[in-house]
Amino acid sequence: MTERKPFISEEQVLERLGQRHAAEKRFRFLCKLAVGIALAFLVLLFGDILYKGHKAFVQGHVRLPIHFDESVIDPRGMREREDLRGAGYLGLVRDALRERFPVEDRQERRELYSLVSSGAPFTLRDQVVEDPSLIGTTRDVWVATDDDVDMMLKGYLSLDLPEDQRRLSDRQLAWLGELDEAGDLGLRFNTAFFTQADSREPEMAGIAGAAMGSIYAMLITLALAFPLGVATAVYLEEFAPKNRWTDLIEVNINNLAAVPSIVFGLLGLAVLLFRSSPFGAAGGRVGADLDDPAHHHHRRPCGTPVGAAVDPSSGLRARGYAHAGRGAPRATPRPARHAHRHDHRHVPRPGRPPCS
Amino acid sequence: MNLLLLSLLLLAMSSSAYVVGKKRALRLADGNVRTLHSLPSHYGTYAVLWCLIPAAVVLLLWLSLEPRIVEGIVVSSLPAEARELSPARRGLLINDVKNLAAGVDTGGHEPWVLEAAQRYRSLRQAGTAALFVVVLGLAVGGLAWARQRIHRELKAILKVERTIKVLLLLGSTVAVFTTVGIVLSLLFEALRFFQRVPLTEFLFGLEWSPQTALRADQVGSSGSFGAIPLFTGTLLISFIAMAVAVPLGLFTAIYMSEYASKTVRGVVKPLVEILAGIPTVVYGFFAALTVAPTLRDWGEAAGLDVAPESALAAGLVMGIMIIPFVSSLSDDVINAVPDGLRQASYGLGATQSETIRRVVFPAALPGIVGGVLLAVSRAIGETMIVVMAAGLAANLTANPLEAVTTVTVQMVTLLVGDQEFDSAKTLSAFALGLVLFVVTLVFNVVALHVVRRYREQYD
Repeated sequence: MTERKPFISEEQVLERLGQRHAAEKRFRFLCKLAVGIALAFLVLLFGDILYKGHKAFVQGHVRLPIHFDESVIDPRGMREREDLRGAGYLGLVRDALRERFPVEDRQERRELYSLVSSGAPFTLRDQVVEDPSLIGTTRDVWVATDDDVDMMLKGYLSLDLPEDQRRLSDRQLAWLGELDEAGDLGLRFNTAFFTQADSREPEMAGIAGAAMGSIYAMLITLALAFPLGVATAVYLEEFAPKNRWTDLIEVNINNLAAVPSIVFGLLGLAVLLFRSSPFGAAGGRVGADLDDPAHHHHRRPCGTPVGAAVDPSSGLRARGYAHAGRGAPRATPRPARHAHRHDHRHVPRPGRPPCS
Repeated sequence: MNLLLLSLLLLAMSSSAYVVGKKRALRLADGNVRTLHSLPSHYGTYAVLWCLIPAAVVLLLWLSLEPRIVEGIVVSSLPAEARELSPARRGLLINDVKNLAAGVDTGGHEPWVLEAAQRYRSLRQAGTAALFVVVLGLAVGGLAWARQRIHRELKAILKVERTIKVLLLLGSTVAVFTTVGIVLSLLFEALRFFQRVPLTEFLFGLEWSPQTALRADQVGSSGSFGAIPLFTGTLLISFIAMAVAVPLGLFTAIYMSEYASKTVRGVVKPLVEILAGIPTVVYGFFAALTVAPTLRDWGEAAGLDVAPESALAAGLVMGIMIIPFVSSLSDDVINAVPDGLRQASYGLGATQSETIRRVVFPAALPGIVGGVLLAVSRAIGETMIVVMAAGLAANLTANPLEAVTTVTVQMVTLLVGDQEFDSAKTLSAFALGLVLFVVTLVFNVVALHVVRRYREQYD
């Protein structure tokens, strides 16, 4: 066989090879860079949220010696729950403050009282109701401070403004300094965040109400979406014949998963309005329903559109896993599968449980 | 609470029905199970179905109809002056009655309102008691009926299988009903809107300023409902989001499927998926509190005028959220390209990146395009991030440093308002919703079509 002349020379090939390897290195670097950027965003997001939010888990508290005076708390002496709950604990708090820092005029008194949260009396009340033996004793109690003090303790209050523009006056700051030096002022774990619901007072606000609402919505959604999704998946995978109707169902499920969730919200809104004013939506104010005090009105409709939104995607996902699990029964050799059927024990199994 | 109790009782009855049915079948078989047509467990299931289904159907019907019926009874017993009120006032009155019956007393009610509330409450209570009796009675009746019908030749397995199939089919049709419901509710309200504002003005108008008169004589209530600024705002933010998500997502997918070792892939893939699992509210927070101010500061330092709610901030964060969508869809598609093509390319002396660029990527292209289209439809429909990070005023611009508003933001602000539900302002939200629905649907259908048509059949 005669040797043929190559189209390009060996040196050219080697030179090109170097270029191609360099291009390979650049491409690989680009891919790694992309992954790095995506992960950096993740770290940035979590880090930022944690950094901005971690201080919410602590709350400023002040330690005051409270005289649980029986003549104030329970003048009748019968330890009735109603009496204990209705007593004037605010007076006890104010007495303790005045004892610590004697004040004369009205302005000074107001500044002193505003150091402590308006929810402090409730802390005392709850303690006494739980343990009436406190009555008559004097105890040191940690009560929540006002939100301005809390912000100062956490470093969010700008203190280098002139006094009339600041939220805390010089006098208040002096008192707080004294308390701090005596060890009676500090940041403690913020249980109110988890046990309280919404409040106008920032230091008393918590997520309990919202968390309950979320849990209810989730439960209703799960109760609706899971059975329907699994039923759909099992039917489409195991039972459905290949005809127009099942195609229609499949197309519909795919579409539903693609619809933005706000459209489901519109559906829920339309259904809610239709149900709550059956005499016509005309004139039914949208706002009125949002103010409905009988909130149980809400939970069901809220779950249904969410359920409808979760349902197709869980139906899709369940179907996807049914697809994946389809591999398992398909892998079973045909005679075994038919034997299974005749055995009357054939129960369609969607394969791997959904993992996510 | 009552409902929960009833459901638990029904479930308990069903389990006992299973036991009863199975036992009866076994007893009839008299020691020789072969004489039965089906397995004993099928007879048990047969009994369960007879016990559960009639009771459940009645329960559902009752739950949906009872409130209306009770309301109707209470209304018809109201004094004449109440019945002659306008529908709006009557609706509020009914709400009052219901609240009173639930124990929420706002005081200052006339005696007949209190009476009506009493009647409502006692009717509901009687209704609940009747519900319990009827449903449980039906369950017991069904069980007895099934037990009586069980005999050796009963083809229990056929009946059971068919019933279960029908039940599953009904469950599947819920998806169809939901779609129909969405389309109908959107269409209905949107048509009412288009009766007040012509379709052409809505679709092609350049000014979006949805104010309608609160009172008949109010000044400055001329509303313009031209939605083009909203569309451009949506497209701008989605474009920025895709400009971030597509390169990052695609290269991530290529890395994970071609270059990464198994351990690296096992670590990186779940981490990237976490990005998809974060609630969009958190992203919105991040965008509004961190990204937007940072961009503003950088812009100021560079001498540019960056709005505090720039489209860039919202688009950037939305892009981060969409990375996992593009990444996992592309990953699946790239993995699906058969290895034979790659090996052939290596055999010809190509480097890995050349193989990817010239062989794998073109082969996977239809799937990738489909995935990108799905991601675009997600970006268009995204609500929370833009509600928190994007502006409220409609602004027709292509400058990413300005504040724009999107379709979804306007839908939210229009509905969380204090307007009458009848006004054009609130109804425009439904019109916007209809447009959004249609557009995302079209995108998804096209994506599916592209993937199906151009996909190479490799196996």
